[in-house]
Amino acid sequence: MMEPPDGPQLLTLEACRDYADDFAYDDQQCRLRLSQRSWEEFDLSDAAFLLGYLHVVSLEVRYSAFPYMVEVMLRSKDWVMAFDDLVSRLRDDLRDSRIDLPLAHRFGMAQAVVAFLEAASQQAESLGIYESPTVIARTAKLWKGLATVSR
Amino acid sequence: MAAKVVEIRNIVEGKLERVELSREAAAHLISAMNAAFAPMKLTGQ
Repeated sequence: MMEPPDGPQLLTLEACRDYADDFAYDDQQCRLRLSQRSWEEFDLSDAAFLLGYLHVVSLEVRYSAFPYMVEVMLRSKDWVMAFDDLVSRLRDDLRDSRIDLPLAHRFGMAQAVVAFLEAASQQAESLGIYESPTVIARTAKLWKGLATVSR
Repeated sequence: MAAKVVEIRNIVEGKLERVELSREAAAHLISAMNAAFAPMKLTGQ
């Protein structure tokens, strides 16, 4: 019979190294793909690729590709995990003050994000995904707040 | 627009999921997003 752990289960150094290696590999894959594509020819396939690598993509790359990711999401017949990941990052970017959008464009950007999130919420519900709209609503509330103060 | 199939990686399961982009998306939403975020777009390689 297994003894219950006494005290918190700490990650070993080896385990930490494994996680770091995983992310390093993902980062390498992402850089490889981006190095073979130019922003001028960037398309929905590239956006779909980046959706699977959000954890290693910089904020600059993410927001540059954001309209394409939105299009992939809104046109998708199915709901995949990466869509929830994108919404969570939108939420965390504002909540944790990770981004500082250009003042002159902030209102328009916030308005566009809110409109997108409302459509995404309806889409999730229509696909029978009932957990995602809660996070989407929380995210939309934050971006609505940004739109209000930017007006 | 014709249906397009793209691959999106599921980071937890580490597999690629084929996703069909055949849903009707409001064109004004897409163009508004493109216009709003144009200043964020990186250029060059």
